[in-house]
Amino acid sequence: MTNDLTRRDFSKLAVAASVAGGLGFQVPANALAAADASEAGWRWDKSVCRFCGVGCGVMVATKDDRIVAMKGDPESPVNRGLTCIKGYFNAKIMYGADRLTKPLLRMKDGVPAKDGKFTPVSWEKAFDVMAAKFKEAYGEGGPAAIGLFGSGQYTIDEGYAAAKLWKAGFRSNNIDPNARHCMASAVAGFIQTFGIDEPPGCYDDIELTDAVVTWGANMAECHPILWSRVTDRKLTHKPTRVINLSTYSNRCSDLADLEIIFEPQTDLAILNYIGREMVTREGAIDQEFVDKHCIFATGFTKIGYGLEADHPAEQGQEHRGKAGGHWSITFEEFKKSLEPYTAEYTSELSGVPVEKLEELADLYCDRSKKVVSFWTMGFNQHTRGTWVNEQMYMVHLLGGKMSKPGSGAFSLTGQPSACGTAREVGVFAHRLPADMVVANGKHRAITEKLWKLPAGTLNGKVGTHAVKMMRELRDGTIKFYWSMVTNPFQNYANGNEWIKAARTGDNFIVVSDCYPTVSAKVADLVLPAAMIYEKWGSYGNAERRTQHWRQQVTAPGEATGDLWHLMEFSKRFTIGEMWKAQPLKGVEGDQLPDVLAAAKEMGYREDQTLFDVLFNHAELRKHAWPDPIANGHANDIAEHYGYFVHKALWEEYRQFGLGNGHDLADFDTYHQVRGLRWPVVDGRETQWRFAEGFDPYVKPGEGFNFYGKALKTIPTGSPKGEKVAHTGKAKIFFRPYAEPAESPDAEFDLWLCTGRVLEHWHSGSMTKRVSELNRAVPHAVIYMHKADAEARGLARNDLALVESRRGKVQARIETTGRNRVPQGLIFVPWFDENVLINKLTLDATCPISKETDYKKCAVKVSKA
Amino acid sequence: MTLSGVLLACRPEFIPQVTRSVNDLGWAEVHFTEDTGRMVLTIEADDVRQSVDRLTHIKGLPRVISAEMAETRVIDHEDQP
Amino acid sequence: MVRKFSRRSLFRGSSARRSSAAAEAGGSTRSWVLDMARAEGEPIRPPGALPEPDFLATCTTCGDCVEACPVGTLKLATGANEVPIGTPYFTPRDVPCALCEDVPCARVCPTGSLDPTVEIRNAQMGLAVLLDQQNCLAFKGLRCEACFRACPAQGEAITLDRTRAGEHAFFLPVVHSEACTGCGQCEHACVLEVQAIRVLPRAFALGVVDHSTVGWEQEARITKDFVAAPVAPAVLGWADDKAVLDSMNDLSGIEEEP
Repeated sequence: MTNDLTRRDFSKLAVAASVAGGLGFQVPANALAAADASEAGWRWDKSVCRFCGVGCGVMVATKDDRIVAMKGDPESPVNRGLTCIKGYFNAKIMYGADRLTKPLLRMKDGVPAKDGKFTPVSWEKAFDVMAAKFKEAYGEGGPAAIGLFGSGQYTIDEGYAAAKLWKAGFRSNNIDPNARHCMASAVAGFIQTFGIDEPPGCYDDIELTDAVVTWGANMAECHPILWSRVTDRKLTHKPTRVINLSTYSNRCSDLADLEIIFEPQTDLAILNYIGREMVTREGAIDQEFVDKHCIFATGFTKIGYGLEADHPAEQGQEHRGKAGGHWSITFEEFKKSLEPYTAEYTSELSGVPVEKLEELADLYCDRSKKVVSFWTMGFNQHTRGTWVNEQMYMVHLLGGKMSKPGSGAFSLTGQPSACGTAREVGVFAHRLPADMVVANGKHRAITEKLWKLPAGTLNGKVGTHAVKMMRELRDGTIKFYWSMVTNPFQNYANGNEWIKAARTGDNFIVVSDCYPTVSAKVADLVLPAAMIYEKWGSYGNAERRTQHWRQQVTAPGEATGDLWHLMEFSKRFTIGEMWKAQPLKGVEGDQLPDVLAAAKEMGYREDQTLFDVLFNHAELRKHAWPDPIANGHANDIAEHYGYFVHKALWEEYRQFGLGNGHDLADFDTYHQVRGLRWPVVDGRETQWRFAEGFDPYVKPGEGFNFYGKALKTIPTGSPKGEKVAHTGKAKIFFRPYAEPAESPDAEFDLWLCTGRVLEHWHSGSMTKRVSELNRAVPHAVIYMHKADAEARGLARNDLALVESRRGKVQARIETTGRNRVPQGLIFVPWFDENVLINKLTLDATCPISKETDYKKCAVKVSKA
Repeated sequence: MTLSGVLLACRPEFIPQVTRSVNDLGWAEVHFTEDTGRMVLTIEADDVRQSVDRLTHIKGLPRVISAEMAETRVIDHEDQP
Repeated sequence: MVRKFSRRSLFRGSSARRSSAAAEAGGSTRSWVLDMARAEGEPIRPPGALPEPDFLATCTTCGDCVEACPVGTLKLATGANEVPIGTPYFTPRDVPCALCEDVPCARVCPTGSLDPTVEIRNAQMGLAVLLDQQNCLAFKGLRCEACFRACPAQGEAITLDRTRAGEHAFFLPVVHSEACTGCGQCEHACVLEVQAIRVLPRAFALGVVDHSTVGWEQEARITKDFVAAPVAPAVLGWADDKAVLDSMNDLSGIEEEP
């Protein structure tokens, strides 16, 4: 008898019991007792995963300023103790060997030079050069000559500080997040349909629904824990159906009862076919709901593809400049518009057999069935992304399957805080916090009041969105470009042009980053950044759950939080420099007014810095550090500035949302709970918005109230019709099928679709530093149909060359594995800096949302 | 060595088959099973790298819908005879 | 685990009370041998039994303990199952141990393979384990707890964990290994057709908690592949300036070849 065997059996039981107990399995007591490990001396604290929009809770254990253990948080309602393999390695991402720990500046012969080599410099020197270059650009071109590319992975305080500095300090709206590449179409879809951003439903829908439909969303790999919950639902509630719609077969298909593979772009037609079935079949429409709460609408069609004016695809597109314009129509017009989308026509166009289309329509037409439709990049990264989002709402609104427990159209967010930071704070070229917009004078006034700015400080002209920012960099309009918490030179489509612009143009590129990424290498100045558990922070996930965490460990070397980068930089500018008149084409007098006189009346002095005015005023400093809520945790930024910066900024920021449907709780509360879903009113979170009994903003007796205010007053019947306010209503849009921007042809005969794999996050800057993840999926491969490969003299594992009109890369062929593509299409993930697939993609966008279509362009493949 | 706790899901009719496949691997063991098809199992491995490889292997077993890592512990055997 | 039995241990004793191994086995001598060779697990022994190897070394299969038992719990193995022939054991489901205060079975054992000084409340014949939580009525939310009520050490060896799940209050039987004697009255009482709670040999059901079971090493335990510094992170191998700079200055694969 060996003790070793017994102890090992016991250890196994202990681990299994720990897992099972946390998951709600019934476990014998002795097994549970075993699970209490001797973890003496560890400090456990709650936090969140660094990665996707699911927003799993994690528990982090530290000892001696190092992370020693991590696990999924059993108390988190999101993941209940589970993590996927990326979440599992959250701690390891911070310990890669090539972590950036010093500012690096390209220098030659002792002076900054674009063709110089990276040299470590002090922070002082870094900001000296950065401020000088900024003032040079700004002095020449004003607020239009600078650009900040922010991120849906910024913490909320970082995004808030960035927006405040750029808009209030520099008076520039040239600030846009990488969320422009992922959620912009969803945002536009929300604003146009509901007048307010973000999903009405929540993850609880999964446990309550009868059917889950995934549209262009590889949840099994990209929202893994939500997929675990969907799987759980399907296994525990027998009638639950799962349908997977995609342009290629992926791991979601393993669970699906019905898999629908369609020709790229034809999702537009399929949704219209469903709409047609709904208006044709008796009783498929929830007439009472539609009559009481919805109106019908349509818009311009010749809106182009977001390409530059001289591009062939843009010719004859007369509505390019007013792509978002729409007006109300009658139900008859709506019904008539859907006429062409018969089963036969749709089947012909999409390649989907009629029986499958009918089965899909049957589900949506069944009034008794609760349905959740999920989508992510397949819909959003689409040259008609806004349209297809609206069409999904069309289907759900017609059937009354909206804002109900277990029933709703659920736009899934990809990044951990595209919701919480980019969207809610308004880190966009056209936005302000809490769904306000720069172009609205009333919104600017509210913002100026909360930010204690003189009237007229804020710039009312919509700035340069992300895609345009790179074009303006190339053209020399933008001469100072700063990116933070993102990897633009790997994530932008048509990459070669922008890399060339950065390396050879008359400009200065600053990148705040944590590892030597493609973007860091292409920059002129690199600022080392602290990573998630090295700072206090907060994220808002896909179900509107805002979650906060404390600093767990110290950042290495001289790396500091992005918040510090922004606040220190703000010290280099006075309001005398920034709040005088600034040149800006397209506004009254072609300039922003001088507001210094008004500033002085408010008690400001010209020599006060932007730091003084935006980040160091008395109201903010009221929040003292240390603070009991810290529970013994450090806060390097608070120590540096002598007050509780994160709490102060939070309490200032949340004033924007109170009383207008964006209510957030106070700072301390979030440190006591596993996040809360806004609007949080009287301490209660909201699960289903717009619905009576769940949303505090909906009065008793209303049933539903789509209270979003934006774009509710629209013309009637035609673009020039009488404007009518449709307060409280949601819009059911008709949108037609439109051809893709670039389809395969004789020379470039294959579709290229890009996307992700479970093991890596985005551009791999973090996950590739984890040797286990890197080993699991070391390189991006070309998923290709065997017949297509054979036709090109290629076999599995052969090195191939993929080319488009814009660039080329090499990668190995994969004909088996997790993705099974149809003939005529290849799929390449974009996480690999050695396979920069975005050199090939086309920077065509949805003209309304300005979001790039990463899923469709034309390529050819040959032997390398 | 490392011990990992994993949550696996399969359809209920395949529970016996999946349980056998997992237990036959030699380095994995099913501990708790629900009749819905959820089971908790452990994976033994020399190091974390191997445990990840082994999880990937389990994900690829026939009839396995999903397998997610929940927890890993490092087991210290230095006082073994 | 496979137990090796000596020929002597297979064919033990000559007491008239023992059934004929050959007659009861329902098979050939050869198949008993094979059965023995394939034996796994341990039987539930009378109270005070020495650890199994010691027990087997000392038990003479005299059968005195079986005779002494007032309720007919104990029986001698016949070879029809994997228990070594002639040794005393019991099947709790059939007849559980009555936990006699004076432990007549152990007191009468001539060789000491049952410890005569054993206190019956401290006996460790086995450990009750609620194995089948799918079918256990309490786990379905029904009010049963028959095992709890049958337990002679009610409130110590089995307790009820009152909890809520969904809309129901649950009363879940929980066994506490330090108090459970393995008498099997719970197993006997279980109302299911096939009992959900069983007495298992302690060595099978229990392990030993010691400090090294779940280890924490000086190095960061997320992985053994990287070595965390014994001092503050600033001094870690992070600051390999040259390697980082070389990597930063290498734009191969990024810029387009002319």
